[in-house]
Amino acid sequence: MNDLLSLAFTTAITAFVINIAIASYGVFTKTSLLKKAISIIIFSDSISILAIAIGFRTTETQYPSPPVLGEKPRTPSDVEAFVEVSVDPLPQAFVITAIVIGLAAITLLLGLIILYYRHFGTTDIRAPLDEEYEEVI
Amino acid sequence: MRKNIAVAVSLGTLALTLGMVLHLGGLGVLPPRILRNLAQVVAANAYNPWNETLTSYSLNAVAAAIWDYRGIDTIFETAVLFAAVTGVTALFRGTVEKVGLGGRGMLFTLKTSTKIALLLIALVSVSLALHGHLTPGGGFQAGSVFAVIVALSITVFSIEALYNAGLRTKSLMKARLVALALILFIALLPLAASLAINGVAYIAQNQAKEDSAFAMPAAFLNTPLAGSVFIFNVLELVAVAASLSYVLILFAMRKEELEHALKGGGK
Repeated sequence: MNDLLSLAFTTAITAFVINIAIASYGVFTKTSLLKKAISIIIFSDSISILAIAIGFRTTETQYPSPPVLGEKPRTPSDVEAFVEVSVDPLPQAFVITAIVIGLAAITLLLGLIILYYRHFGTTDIRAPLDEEYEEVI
Repeated sequence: MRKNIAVAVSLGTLALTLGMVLHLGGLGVLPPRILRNLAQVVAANAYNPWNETLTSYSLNAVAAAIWDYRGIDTIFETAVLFAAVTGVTALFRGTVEKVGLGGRGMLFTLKTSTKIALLLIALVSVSLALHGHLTPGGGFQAGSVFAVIVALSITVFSIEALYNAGLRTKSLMKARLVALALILFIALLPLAASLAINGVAYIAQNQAKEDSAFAMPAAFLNTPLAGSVFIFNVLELVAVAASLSYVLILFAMRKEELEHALKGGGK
């Protein structure tokens, strides 16, 4: 059972790493600002999900459980049993912080892109080079 | 074209190297058989009435880590979101909300089904925040879900309908400010209490510590409340929902409303 789980886990990790590379390809080569922004979102989300995957763990006998207690523990041994099967809660806590801060940056970026679009009528990054434009923003 | 190929090859190398590092154990054995030490401490103390000075009485270990063990970090994270939305306000300075530009929205059937969906979304959002310390969820997730209501309404009913319903950017801004101020107030409340009883207390303290007896309510009618975790989750819902709705309305503004802003804003 654990061999199959490990194989699936390795496959998932590989997919996330490849996803990071593909997303950064989009950031570097696309000329549309909107596509660049989408690539950045995919890039940061791939890293977030990679971080969460690193918090995964296997157990001896049972399936791992989410880091949430099902009910109030009645004895100290309930807590110990929870620690035996729970996955790592810390990467999830860090990732939610990363998501909020990523969202803050993306919000500002999208605001800039919308104003760029309203000004030039396109989201192409080369628009200012093509013609004379009035610098007002 | 040649540049793109060079970028692709170098990124392929990057992915291969990252994969090799992970395979050779750069981040330890993956997936590990036993929990890391720090994670063991958090998981064992999230709800542990037998260790009263370290527990947070939260069944959700992630919520305990976010708002109790790393509370200051999360307060600053909320401040970062606040700063970003203030930045968007500065970018869109000079926008005027104009009613009567038209915009009828989509078909009647779509509108009716969206109304039902909006009710369900609001319910999910509120329950995510209120149960953030009992089940997977939390304030930020709830706020993001709540902002979906505004996004859907703009798409289906048009921004005009939102204005007519009385939703203005100014009131959203006020809600956001009040929520952030309340988060700071709750974080600093233990200090005020410590002054009153002339003892020791810490910023963002939740439950009693070894040298400080100050504690937020741990349970309500036999249901775990997790003290400040619950309060922070609810306030974060308001702060994030108001911030994101505010930004969505600004982003959806029509050309006529943005005219002044595009000319440089100001007066």
